[in-house]
Amino acid sequence: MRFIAFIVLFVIAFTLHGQNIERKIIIENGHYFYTTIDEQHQIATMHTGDVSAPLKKERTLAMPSGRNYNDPVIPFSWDFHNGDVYAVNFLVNPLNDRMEALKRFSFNSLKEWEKSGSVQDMIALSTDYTPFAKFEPYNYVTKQSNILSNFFFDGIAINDSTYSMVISNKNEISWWTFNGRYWLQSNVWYVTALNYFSLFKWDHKTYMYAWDGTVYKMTEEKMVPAAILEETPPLKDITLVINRDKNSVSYFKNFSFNSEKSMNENLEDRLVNVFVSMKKR
Amino acid sequence: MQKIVHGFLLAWVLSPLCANSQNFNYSNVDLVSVTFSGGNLTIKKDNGTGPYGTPQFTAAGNEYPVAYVSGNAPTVAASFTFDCANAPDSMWIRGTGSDAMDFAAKKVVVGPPSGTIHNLSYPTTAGSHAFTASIVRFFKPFTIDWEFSFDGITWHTAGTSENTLYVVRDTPQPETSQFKWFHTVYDLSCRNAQYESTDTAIISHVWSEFLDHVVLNWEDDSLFYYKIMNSPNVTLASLLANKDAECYTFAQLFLAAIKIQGVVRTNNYVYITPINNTVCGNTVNRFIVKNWTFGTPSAASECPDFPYKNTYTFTTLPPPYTAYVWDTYDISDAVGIPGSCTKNPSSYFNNHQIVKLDGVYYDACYGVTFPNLAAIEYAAFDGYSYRYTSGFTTHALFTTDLTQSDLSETITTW
Repeated sequence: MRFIAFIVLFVIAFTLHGQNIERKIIIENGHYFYTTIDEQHQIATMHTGDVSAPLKKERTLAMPSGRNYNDPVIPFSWDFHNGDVYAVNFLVNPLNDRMEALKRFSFNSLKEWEKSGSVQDMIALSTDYTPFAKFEPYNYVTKQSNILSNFFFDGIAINDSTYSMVISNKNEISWWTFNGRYWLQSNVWYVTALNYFSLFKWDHKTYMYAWDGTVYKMTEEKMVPAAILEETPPLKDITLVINRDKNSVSYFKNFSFNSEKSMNENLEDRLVNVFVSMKKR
Repeated sequence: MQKIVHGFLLAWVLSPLCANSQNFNYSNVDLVSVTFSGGNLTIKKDNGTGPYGTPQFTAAGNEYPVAYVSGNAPTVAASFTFDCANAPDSMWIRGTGSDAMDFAAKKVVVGPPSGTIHNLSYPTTAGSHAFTASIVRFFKPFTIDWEFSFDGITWHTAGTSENTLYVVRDTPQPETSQFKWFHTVYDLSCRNAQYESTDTAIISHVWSEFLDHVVLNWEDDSLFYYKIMNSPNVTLASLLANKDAECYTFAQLFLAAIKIQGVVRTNNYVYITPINNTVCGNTVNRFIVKNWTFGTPSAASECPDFPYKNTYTFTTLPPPYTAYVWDTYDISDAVGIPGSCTKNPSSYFNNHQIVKLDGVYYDACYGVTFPNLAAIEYAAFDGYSYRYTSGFTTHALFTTDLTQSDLSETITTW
């Protein structure tokens, strides 16, 4: 138990003092949700709390998923939709099958770390957790070439039964949709992903925030630069904020949170709305 | 008057100018510290607390390692204390190091006294020759015998410094988020590849560390492959910090020991896993490494090709993580292929990670090489497995027929 308590403190400390938030913060029904990865054990923690309450009061929930530390890093691919958490469990473990990496679990099933057993137990749970769908996009790219280079991916839930994923390897980016029964490959573009990218949806459309700051609107025919921002930082420098209460997508340049302040207070005056400030590229 | 003369003579004998004393006790010159510089490489501590600092040697106990790229000469500065009531203005200091490395005599100023103690500083000085270009060297220790002199002719000992010193063949590959210039990486690499110069020879000699299933860190401590059967350590850093880790890390340690010598090989890191073929409606995505004991098959009617069945709840490796635990079982783990410092490591896997260099597969966990994937399968596996979950129970079915699946490989550059 002492060990678990240490882990919780560790996670909190780094969250509030510079541990990377993985890709994004989702705000819904007055609550925020974001994830971090334990720097020693690859396992993810979901952080959640009232947007008006001090961050130090947030809950830290153990997730049966995580990501590895391979170089280059592929940030943890996760999403929250309608009470369910979606995650690509890409931690390295001799029992973790990459083809079974795509998971979906109820948010309400997540427990605080002190009630979740050891890190080893959580990793074991993650490897045996029934997959949401076979990770067909990964199967596709590794069948195309067994050499992984410029390999990145991210996925989001479109609705209760539809999940969308973009995956890249070598000089190819492909867009996939799982419709609850099978995967459909929407398109393939011969573009080299020089680093990771993040997906988000807005106004019923799927967008990709690319490594260099370009935001693409995904259509079946092509990836269209959606607009130009006044300032378009590289993805590694920012964190996306998907605010479903305000129906907005914005970002902030990464900084260390103040645990005494609420999420709203921390983000005040830091958010740049992706769509409002966008200009043509 | 006689008393006065005697007193004067006595004072002269007892308080000599140190340089003029015929019966001088020279042990009062003490080596305090030695600092290496001149392009020496960063060496990170295995415990993850960052690089070693300076001075690399202190009389108080620091004996930090030092590393250079071949073709460079070591450069040192040193400090001493000199206990003398009537010290001269200057003295001479020199050093004689391992590998016939001389550090030239330098006239140094004797510092002002604090009581009877004076400080002496030997200035930053390059060794007399460069380490031979393109040759790996390993000095454990690299000693420097320090001497001082009042006249530059007669020399007296002033202490010895000892540091482990590594000479890598070429500039190491740049650090990444995973590849760090750790102490053990230098040590394992230079210890095994001493005097080697070609890529092939360096790879071959570094590999020799892994052949006997005893992989040692710089302190000669064992690095364990699955000391606990579900070790959460999957990175080079965590292997070296915890001395116990999974297969990934031994592959990374081998590659790191190659990269630290400046050897470049791309597409060197191989992830192997079953091809995910379907048998009896389920995906084959597990394999078992020798040895397993097979009892009476209980699932032949369920799946004739995978007739052995074990079941478990939640996990096969519950605390204290020392053995597989099954609710029911037809097969059981037995001592078989040993791993590094472990007689019977974990052996029920979805995947394994190994090194591929110049067409040869190196499995650093087990200290064996293979010409191709098929050879791995037949040399190391006792069977394949698939599993499904029903309620809270996971059913794992096994076969000893290795034709029931195959291995696939995914390759990255580490």
